[in-house]
Amino acid sequence: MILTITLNPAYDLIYWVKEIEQKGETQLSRAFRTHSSAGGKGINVSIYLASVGMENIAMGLIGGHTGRAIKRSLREEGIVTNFTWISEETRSNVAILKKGQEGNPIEVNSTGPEISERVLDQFMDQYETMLHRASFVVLSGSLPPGVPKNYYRELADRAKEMGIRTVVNTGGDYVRPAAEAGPFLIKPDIRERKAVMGEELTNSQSIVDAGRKMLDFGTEYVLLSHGLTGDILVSKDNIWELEANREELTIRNRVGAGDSLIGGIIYQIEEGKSVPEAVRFGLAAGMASLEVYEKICRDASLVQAQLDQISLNELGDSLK
Amino acid sequence: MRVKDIMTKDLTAVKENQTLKALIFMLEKSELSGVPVIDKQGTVVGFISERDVIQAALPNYFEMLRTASYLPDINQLSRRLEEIKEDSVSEYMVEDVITVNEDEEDIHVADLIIRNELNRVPVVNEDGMLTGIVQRIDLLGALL
Repeated sequence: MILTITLNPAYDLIYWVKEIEQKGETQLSRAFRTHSSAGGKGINVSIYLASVGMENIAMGLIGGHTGRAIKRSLREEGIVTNFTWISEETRSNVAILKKGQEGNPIEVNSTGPEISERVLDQFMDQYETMLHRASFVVLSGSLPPGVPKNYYRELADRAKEMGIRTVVNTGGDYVRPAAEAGPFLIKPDIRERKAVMGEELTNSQSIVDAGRKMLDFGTEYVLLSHGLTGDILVSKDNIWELEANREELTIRNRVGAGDSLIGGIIYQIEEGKSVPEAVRFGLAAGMASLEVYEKICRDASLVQAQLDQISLNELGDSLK
Repeated sequence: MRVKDIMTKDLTAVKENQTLKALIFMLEKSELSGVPVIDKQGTVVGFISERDVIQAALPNYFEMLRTASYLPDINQLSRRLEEIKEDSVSEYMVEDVITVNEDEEDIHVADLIIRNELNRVPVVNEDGMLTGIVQRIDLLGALL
């Protein structure tokens, strides 16, 4: 069973508008399409996995009306839930997509409620119990205020002690502590800043160098985005470059694409595929999700169409 | 239909060594009236509801009277709750818990719910681990 952890979940509200412009006075934009669903990176991975029929457990911290809405939404997706309740209201995140510029959304994310030590103790207790039935743990997204920056390391350590593989997808200051636990795979989130472990990601070589730094801690694979349609996968002995075809891509919604990628990777690894092939499939799942209004593409034929156009090149132990 | 087709796949539960205070917080926030009690591995070892907590807080004779109208002072209930709030869930849970398996027929769980006047029945796998819950409303929804 796959366990996804979302410590800072959100109720996602996505609006598509024809025009949005700040002109110095109150502006009213009418959305011609809206989409709302349970969100947060780990929860999005859960939704992807459920969409391909893979049973999984969503864990995290929820509270208030939005917390209950998230739980209800996941129940309707057939996802097993085991949340820790908090007193505060779970956050809502908003994305506004302007027609013709859907690839560059305006995203407004709340930081999330302050989390107490008591809540973290309760969560850890539930997490340790759920590890008894886990084959993979996904640690994904930001940490809310009050949660120590090395908390993902603690969670990854506990999983590793029980021989369970961990995938980490987070950004900023949370990457290094998570890498220190030596997880199976890390995909740093570089949406806010294109830098990892002190390395500015300006070209392919800097991406490989940043990846190697994480491998030094014992991480088995590092996956780094190289533009919207390309990824570089780094292991101790090998580098793979993946490139998708952007020319025929119509972007309708970017929210959830990275999470479909993670979900696609885990789905294929559980199906017995090699890690590079699983990443290739994950990239296809992510690309397909860009093309639909929903966060997750549920149409296998769209994923297959993307998969057919993604190249996977094994480069050996260096880029040259 | 089988139990797995109608159950709610929610694993909200309390550990046997957790306090009544922690249980009340969870029931209040999750808006549940009762939860399975599990051990460290997730095996169901009991069930506890808000009714069990109220019974624990009330003097014994109120159970016989089946009314709180004789309660001289609401502070008495409050004081008693204060006294027992750090007690373990295991002290007040129902140990002889009725569970069902995912592959059992829905008619079986309906029979259990009606005969035993239950609101919620934990669903367990072959190892006794919690995998979900069947609520009265799940049954009614499935019957419609």
